[in-house]
Amino acid sequence: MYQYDQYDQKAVDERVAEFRKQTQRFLAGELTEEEFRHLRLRNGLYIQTHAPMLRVAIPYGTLSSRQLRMLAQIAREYDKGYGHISTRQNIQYNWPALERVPDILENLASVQMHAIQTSGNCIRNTTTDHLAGVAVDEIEDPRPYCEIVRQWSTFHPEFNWLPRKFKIAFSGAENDRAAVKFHDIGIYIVRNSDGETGFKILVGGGLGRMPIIGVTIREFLEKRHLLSYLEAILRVYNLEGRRDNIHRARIKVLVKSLGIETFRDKVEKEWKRIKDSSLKIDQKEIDRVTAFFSSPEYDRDAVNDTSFIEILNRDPDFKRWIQHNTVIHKVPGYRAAYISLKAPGVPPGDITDIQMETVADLADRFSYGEIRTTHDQNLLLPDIKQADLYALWQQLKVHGLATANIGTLNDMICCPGLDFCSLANASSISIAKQINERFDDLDYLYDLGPIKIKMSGCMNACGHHHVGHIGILGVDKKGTEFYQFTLGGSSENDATLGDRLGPAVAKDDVADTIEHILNVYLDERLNAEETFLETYRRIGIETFRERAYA
Amino acid sequence: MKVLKNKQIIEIEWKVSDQPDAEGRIIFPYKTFLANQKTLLARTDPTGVILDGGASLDDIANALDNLELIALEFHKFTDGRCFTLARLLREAYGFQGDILATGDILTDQIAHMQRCGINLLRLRNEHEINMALGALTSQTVFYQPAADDQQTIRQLRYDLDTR
Repeated sequence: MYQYDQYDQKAVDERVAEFRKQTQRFLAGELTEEEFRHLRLRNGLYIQTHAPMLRVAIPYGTLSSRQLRMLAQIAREYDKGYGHISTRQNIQYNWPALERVPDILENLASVQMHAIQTSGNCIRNTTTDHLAGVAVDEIEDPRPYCEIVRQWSTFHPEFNWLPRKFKIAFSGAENDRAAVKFHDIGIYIVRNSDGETGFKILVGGGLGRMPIIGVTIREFLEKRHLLSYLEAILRVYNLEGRRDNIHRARIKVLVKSLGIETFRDKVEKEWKRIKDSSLKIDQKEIDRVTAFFSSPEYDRDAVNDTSFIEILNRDPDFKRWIQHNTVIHKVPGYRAAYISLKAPGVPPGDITDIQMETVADLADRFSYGEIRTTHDQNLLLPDIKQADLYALWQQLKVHGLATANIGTLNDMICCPGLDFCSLANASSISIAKQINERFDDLDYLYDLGPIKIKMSGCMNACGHHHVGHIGILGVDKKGTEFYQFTLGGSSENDATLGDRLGPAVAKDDVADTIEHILNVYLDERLNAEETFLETYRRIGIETFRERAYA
Repeated sequence: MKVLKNKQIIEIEWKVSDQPDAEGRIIFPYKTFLANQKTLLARTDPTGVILDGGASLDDIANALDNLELIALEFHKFTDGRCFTLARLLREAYGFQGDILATGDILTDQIAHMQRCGINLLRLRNEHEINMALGALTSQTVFYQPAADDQQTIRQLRYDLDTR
């Protein structure tokens, strides 16, 4: 994992001190609401329905056990004993008191964490594949480049007051697990015909009110030019992005209105001017940062263990968990284990202080002290020896963290919705509960296979409904909550925006509607291997539309 | 007008006027400047121009050698375009004169403004002028190269390595 040096630490400590002063000035009436709003947003602090909400960055989703223990302590001391894992590798606290936020930030800084630029119109936390460094389909580990971008984007003096928020994601693997195509800048590590790795750069993707799949601005960028290229894109956007209408201010609107060719010409022209400036990253810097992400000393004997297969054949519950909640690892004898934060009755992505501490302990015991957060709002222990999986599973079970539902219908992405968010039009958490209660038979869920439900409580689409296999959008109709369905979306390599099913349904009818949709799938699929998404793509929306409202 | 320069509050003699025949150190609004470019560029007194975030630097590129000051006017503190304009003036156009930030500016922003090449800051009021000095020291380490001569963290690390 990356470790701060004295400079990183100083940068974060100074920011805490600065925000403490800003908070004092606000409380003393020296800053207006509007002025303080923009300053606090750049430190992750929103004012929500009930209380402030603090969004803490988990850079590229990587946490040490020590950091997770601090997140638990903050949940206990400053919040109501839990946190919420977001889709973009942040953790959100829903109940901190405004005047105590500087203290929270100071606690975070003591474990090399921060809430810098987790909101506001600036460059947000860079996200990536939660399997980075352990995935079997990895071309190259993206984390060193995420860290290089983290440093470049933190307190960028020119890009702190952009037209709108700006999100960057990386994927270094064949399979995109980071929704790269739905970011303002999406970056794939690719190999060119000479066998050299570099970056394919996409621009202008995003969800929200105007969902758009990012388009390629450059097929191959040599690594040393990463920062100058990003800077050129940001500079064109900062000058030319619209500022007159908040709903037209994202870079996707600029790219669309100029056309990718014109936008690319502008970027490349600026890039040529700066590409040989001190933004250039030399191999020494790449090596320095990469060294932080070297693999742990894996046990070469791990693969020779026989107990794993034995227990697997003996204990069907364990086998189910292995099949659904763990994935293959690049080192034979190891697996990566998901920790489902989608247990029945729990808001998706929520985790208590005790659970955090449990996970931290288990990470120390079994996974070299490292934890990841995933785009699907779960946690992951990246490096578990197969011989340890049974002990891990038993411990997870005790703490309600072993629900074997990863990748199933119940592994929903869900925004906080009306329960917490001041933007929401409808509640999300209660819908997740309704779905969870209706579809509680795991065997039925396994038979359905991989289905991604993604749900947002308003058109800002924090729950990524456009790219759910089944997307659900909460809308308000004259004071009543209704839910609109889309089908066939995907945020992966085959990125697709879902098609609208038809009229929105009443709150109580959501689970029924899903059941109708699932019945169409079960009736129409060619065989048990054909996934929901494949069936949908083959037969189209009409059949679903005809029967969904029955 | 009172401005902050090099961590000091100083009085500068510049005045704003839209009269092309005004004498002395005059900063002209962009409109006045465009309409009277020939006259104004022939002035013997020091000349400045006010640009806002929407300005096209290419349009005044030819005049830069004759300008001693460019004022960048922030209509709203949330509009960050002038940060980019300042950097481009310094780094792409090689502008050596003064760059003054004026308008709706928070003291919390001035450290970044300086990094972008703005060397004169006109704060909104007396109170903020006094606060500004403190705001300039809130950040002392920098990840990015910019239009100033601050060493970046990457350079500092290398210096440590090679010491």
